[in-house]
Amino acid sequence: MNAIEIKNLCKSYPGFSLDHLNLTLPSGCIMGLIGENGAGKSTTMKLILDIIRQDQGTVTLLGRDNRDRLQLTKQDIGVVLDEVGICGCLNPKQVGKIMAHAYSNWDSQTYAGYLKTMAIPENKPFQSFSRGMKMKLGIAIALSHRAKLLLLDEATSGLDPVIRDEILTMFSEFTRDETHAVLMSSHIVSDLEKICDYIAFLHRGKLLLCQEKDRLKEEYAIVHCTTEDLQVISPSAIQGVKKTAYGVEAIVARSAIPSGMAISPMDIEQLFIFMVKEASEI
Amino acid sequence: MKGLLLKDFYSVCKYCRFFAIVVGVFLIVSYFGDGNLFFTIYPCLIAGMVPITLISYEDRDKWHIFAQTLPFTRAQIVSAKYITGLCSVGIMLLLTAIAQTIQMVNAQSFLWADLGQLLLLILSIGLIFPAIALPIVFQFGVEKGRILFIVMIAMAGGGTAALINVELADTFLAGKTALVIVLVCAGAAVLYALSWLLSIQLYKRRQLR
Amino acid sequence: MTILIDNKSGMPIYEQICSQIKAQIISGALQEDEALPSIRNLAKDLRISVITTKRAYDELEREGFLYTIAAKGCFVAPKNVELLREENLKKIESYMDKILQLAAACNLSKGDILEMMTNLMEE
Repeated sequence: MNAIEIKNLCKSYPGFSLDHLNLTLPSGCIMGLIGENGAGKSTTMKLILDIIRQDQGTVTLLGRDNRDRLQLTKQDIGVVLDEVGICGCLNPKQVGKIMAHAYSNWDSQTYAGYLKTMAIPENKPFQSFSRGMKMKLGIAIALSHRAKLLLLDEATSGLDPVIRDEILTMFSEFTRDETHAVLMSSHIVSDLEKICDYIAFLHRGKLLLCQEKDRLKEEYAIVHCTTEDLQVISPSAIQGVKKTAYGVEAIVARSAIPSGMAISPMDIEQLFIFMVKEASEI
Repeated sequence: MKGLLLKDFYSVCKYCRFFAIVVGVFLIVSYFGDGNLFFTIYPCLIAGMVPITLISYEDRDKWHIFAQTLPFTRAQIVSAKYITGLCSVGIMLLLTAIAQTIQMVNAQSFLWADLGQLLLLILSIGLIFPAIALPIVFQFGVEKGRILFIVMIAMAGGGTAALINVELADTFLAGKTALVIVLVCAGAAVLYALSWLLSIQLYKRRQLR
Repeated sequence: MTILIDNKSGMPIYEQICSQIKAQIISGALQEDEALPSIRNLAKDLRISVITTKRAYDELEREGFLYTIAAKGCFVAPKNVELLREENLKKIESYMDKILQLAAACNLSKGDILEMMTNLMEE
């Protein structure tokens, strides 16, 4: 089964439009949504949750259309948006009690466990928390009601590297169960590269690419050569070029690279930057 | 739904302490006062506005977005505010009733009919204001809604005060005023219910950003 | 079972898994009919993609190094002499490939390479 199926999703605002987005996230997988600020990541998340209305297209969550009794589907979804909107006056203990009434599968023991391991003070009001602490509470809530799908919008931003790594491990562990899935957006590409199965690039409301992460890394490599040497390679195999006064660096499909040319493995961040630059020039 | 009401309860406890002080002062003033109705009515008016105060805090904290990620329907989110409104008006009405009874007994002028009419009048006012304000807030958000509401209060404040004094004077002259007050109160209740339904429809269509 | 993943090497991750499991089967570190960890658990323990791990197992199964029993998991297949030979031939081929690359870099002719090889073999 697919955890998320997005078909031809469109939404326009003045100055921005999401253009026929198609995405499929199979159960058991983690998909990373990468895009610069304003690329449409948060819009996509909000469209998925019907916080804003789609102009066109369909979103299917855990097998059910997102306009059909979404409140029931949301029982099985954990969400952390870039701003955790808990009322400032509430403390984590009160939040726990509220959630116990909201989610039929709320597990107060798991919740208490997360508060403890993440060192979240139980009786302090939410408004006194640092951004990292707020995020952690949001994540604790999302993981404490036996959700099958996690939607995370910039959930790791604002956290220090050690905690980010711990939280990424938690997300990764979450999908040890093959009926679980995660869709997470971030502009910290290295975070996504660490744990994702699929990578999707969003640029100005358009999907540039959606591929299995390891395939991408196998398919492409970075070539370091002179401008003349690069002309040997067919232009269709070249994803992006960076020129300096002393040579060029290009991301090229491995199959098109003549043997003997110096190559190095590519990381997703490089691919993203190259592709966005290329797309912006067109 | 219970979760949302519990959240409102926690918020009221925290944010509305200031209100409690104001209300306390007003109740005392109305007890010792010369029967100026403003002090008697004001606590209930404030109580009626509690849901709007809560929504303004929620908007500031982005709770209105967060609530959309929880398993609630928009109808439930709207209804929670209307129920909270009813509860706070109800509690305030009870407090006013006690204060008024004590005052009337002390002044040896206690009459069930007088008390009843006064309370119905207060209830009407407590319901009418949120009934008008809430749909505006659910449609436009709290910022625009608040401005609209301040204008309304300014206009209505003076008007009703004058009107009430006239009406109350009438109470002792003609028996008909009782009927008028009952009708006004019934009207306020109907208005509240219609406002509730309207807000649900408006909020369902609202795009939240 | 030991599997070490190097994200920085250019070698695809599924190939790293494949070659390391193969090596352990060939060396006898993994015994016949021994159960292998499930795809999901291996992926999560190594913190790598589930799809990639599945690809590695599929590849190993296709090559006859392991077999799957539905609902039970994956097991090491009985050793096959022909298979081992095949595997070693592949390795030789890949080394030869590297020789050719290096040779191209220092402009060695086919004759030069063959001569070097013959000399080596006669020693």
